[in-house]
Amino acid sequence: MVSKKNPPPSQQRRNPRSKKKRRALISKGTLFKLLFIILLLLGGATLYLDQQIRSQFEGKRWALPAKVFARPLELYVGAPVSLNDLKIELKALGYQFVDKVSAPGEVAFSASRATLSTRGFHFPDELEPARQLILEFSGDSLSQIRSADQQSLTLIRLEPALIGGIYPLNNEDRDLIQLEEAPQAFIDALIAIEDRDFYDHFGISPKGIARATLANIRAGAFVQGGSTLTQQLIKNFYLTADRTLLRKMLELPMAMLLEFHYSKDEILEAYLNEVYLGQSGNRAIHGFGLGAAHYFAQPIQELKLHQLALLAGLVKGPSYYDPRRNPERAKARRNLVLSVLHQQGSITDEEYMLASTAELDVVPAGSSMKEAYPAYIDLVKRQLRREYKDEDLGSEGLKIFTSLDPISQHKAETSLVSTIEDLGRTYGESLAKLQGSMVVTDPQTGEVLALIGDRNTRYQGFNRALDASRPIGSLVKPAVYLTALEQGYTLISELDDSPFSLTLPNQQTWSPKNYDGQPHGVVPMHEALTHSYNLSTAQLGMELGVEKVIDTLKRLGVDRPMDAYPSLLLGAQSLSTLEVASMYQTIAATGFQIPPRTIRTVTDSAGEPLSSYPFQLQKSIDEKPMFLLQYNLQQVTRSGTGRSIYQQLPININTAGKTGTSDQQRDSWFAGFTGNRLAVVWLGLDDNSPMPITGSSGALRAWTRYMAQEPLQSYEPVMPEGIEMLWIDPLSGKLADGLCENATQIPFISGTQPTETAACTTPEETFIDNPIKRSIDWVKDIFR
Amino acid sequence: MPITMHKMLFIMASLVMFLSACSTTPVSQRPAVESRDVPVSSPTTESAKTSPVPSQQANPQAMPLPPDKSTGTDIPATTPVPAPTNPAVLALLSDAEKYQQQGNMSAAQSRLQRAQRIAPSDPKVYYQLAKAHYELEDFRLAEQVALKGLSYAKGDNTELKRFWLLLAEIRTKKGDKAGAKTAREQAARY
Repeated sequence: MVSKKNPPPSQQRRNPRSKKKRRALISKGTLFKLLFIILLLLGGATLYLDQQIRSQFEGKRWALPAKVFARPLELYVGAPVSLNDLKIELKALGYQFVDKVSAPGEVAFSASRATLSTRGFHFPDELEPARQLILEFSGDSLSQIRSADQQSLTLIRLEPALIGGIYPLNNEDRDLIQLEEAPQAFIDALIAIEDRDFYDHFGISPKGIARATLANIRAGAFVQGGSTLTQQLIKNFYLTADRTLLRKMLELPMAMLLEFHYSKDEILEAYLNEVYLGQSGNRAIHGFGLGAAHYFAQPIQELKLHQLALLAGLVKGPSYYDPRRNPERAKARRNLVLSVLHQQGSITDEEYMLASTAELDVVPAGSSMKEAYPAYIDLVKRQLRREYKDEDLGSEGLKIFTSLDPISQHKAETSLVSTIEDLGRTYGESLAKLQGSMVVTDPQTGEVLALIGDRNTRYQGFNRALDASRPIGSLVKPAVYLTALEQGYTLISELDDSPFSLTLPNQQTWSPKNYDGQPHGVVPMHEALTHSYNLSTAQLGMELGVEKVIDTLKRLGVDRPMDAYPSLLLGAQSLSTLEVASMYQTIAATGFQIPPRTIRTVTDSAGEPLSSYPFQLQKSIDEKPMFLLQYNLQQVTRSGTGRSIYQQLPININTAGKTGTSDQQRDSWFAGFTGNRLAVVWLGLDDNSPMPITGSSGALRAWTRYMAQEPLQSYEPVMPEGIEMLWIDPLSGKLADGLCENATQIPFISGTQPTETAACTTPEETFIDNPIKRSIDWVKDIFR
Repeated sequence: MPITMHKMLFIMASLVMFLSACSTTPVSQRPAVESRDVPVSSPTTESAKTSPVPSQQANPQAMPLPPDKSTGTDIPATTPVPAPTNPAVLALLSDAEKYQQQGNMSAAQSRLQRAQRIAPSDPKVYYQLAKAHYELEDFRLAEQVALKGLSYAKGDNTELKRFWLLLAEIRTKKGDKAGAKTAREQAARY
């Protein structure tokens, strides 16, 4: 902020243009009166302008957009960050990958080491200083952190990536800088090309005007303007864009008044932040702080001479000299700036040669991190709007610290997009317009790490992760089974998986089918869920009551009205991807509802915390039946409909999850988690057409592809008290022991376990048992 | 970037402070309530991972879970081994405690949440977080956080006792007399 400075009051009335020539034709008295009136008018006008200038210059000058930040990457020994992850993070932060690190914002990599110079950051809770770090990696984790002087460090936070903004109505975006943050070479370049008498003139520059006029006459066209930086500032700052005579007339006295009240430095600093430098969609890029980020994805302090010269050159016509659309013009303009600097001796021959032959080094359009995460920012805004007014969000310069993890987001995006493209190639026309959404959370804290609402991840429109409610198919089944387990069923309770018909109140008949079209007879409950049988699930659900299942869904965190139709039991209920995530979150967290969060802290522009959003949780389901369900969902991914996971994931990582396919395969879902990541993927067509893919052959692929890239922790739910892990003979459902072939370990809530012992537990009987078992297997095969 | 002298000094000072905080053994900074240094020996802490799979004959194909979890019926398959707390987490917890004592609850909170993100199944983190909410008189949240932490304390009797005692206090303040009594009884078990 520019400091306020008040001139002595006596000087305020001074009128710089008050001389009038006498005319003999007019009487002395009249002349005197006229002069007096003119003086009075001019004085009044000047006073008015003066007041205008000061109130605007000293008050809140700009509506400052809110800045939205990603989570800072925490570095500590053992942190689950690979060297490759660090590269993704540093790319998002605009670090330059160099051979030898010499300045903040640079990093050098070797096989298992990264040396970087951080920029430091003022977090709401403390200052993280800029410093040089040496990071050693081993596999998927960080094994050592040292400072430049070889001290080992415990915990470091990198600066958080700026991932978006919330803009005022005029869509002006800017990132304020202070004068001392602007490199001297840049100030030199700007003054050299725009207003070389800046430090000598009093707001207007007769010399400059003369020079420009001469140049224009010589060229026979308008090639040079004579406006000073002060005049340009006045024009942008106080006056409308209309080219009226009045505006022109006001510009000069106002420029002089501004110079009269404020120092050159204050005017220059305001100019640096006001200037218009281009357009990104409907967002107007203002100020050199943001300009540097927009064109180079780096802070202005880190730019090289050729980049600074380009920025300074852009002022004249950001659209005409747009380095992305008109690179040749931009280069010529940049080199003009450099040659002026060279001529006036501000840069050496060598610097001039180097800079004027350099590439433009502009990052491609649309690579800005500020537009990279529209779906996530959308969710952030919705959560903010519960507490903040739109006008405050767009004008107060609030800082919003979120939990977006650019590394997870990047991996989620590549997984979802590549899966969609692969499916499009495999199935051709029918999936050409396949869409998808994805939510990734940390199942332990409920923080949303990544969110995708469209296959074009930068698309600013319809956010499917939040707004597309689609039938969840078999993703609902855990709620049915949990309801049963709460009511005393066990994982081996026998279910009837045979066809049935139900006449609904509207006289329609409901007769669901299994995915494979076959009934499976009497099945133990855990197998029905593992293989996602519909007939047994529907019958179980009706026995329990649809209302009961809805109550369970609500306790799992589904917060919307649901109709108690029997078809709900097989997933006719529509939910958004985020709602599904919050439902599975409760399962992963053993019955604690943890609402998905995106915002950690909101501070004002000075960094003072305004609100923070603590870890919230509410136990809504008893841990014992939940543990049984968790166990069953692990069976789904080990041996059930989700087993293809282990073609890619390491066998020692436990996962749990459920596939979902809606009626006629209109929706392909997978929801699942590991110890440290929960992800929900939806694939479908916007026009709701049936698809040739299921949950396993569609969404699960994207899910697995994503998880395979993450440093995963195995899902190891704590076994609560009151659970007994018992060996069960799958054939009889009775207690087994080590002698029983195919015995399976199953958890039971104490008191519900079987008491009888299976025949196979005695060695003599195993001989007799085997043939019988074989014949039964044979009979079972017939019915398969 | 032109760094002014006082900025530079500030950065250096912070660095020195940070480094000195790191080099001090965390033990001396820890309050008496911290039981980290007490060697925990309870029968249930036996490592599940090192236990042999009791039933060799059992067909591993039929087991949905990896064999290393399939321990005998007497030892819970998923009993966690209380892992040593990460030094980064210890530093954050110690900072949080310091801020808590100074009454700067928001600074304490932010460190505790950082600790939670790093070590989301470390009961110590939840204990301190629950205490922070308790001191802010958010008894509902304090209780929930304590219950969550309790689930991670399994196998560590000292932690379990500490959690149940805290829960008893929280519930008393909440006016849940029966709940407080249960918690006290539970605490007495350890």
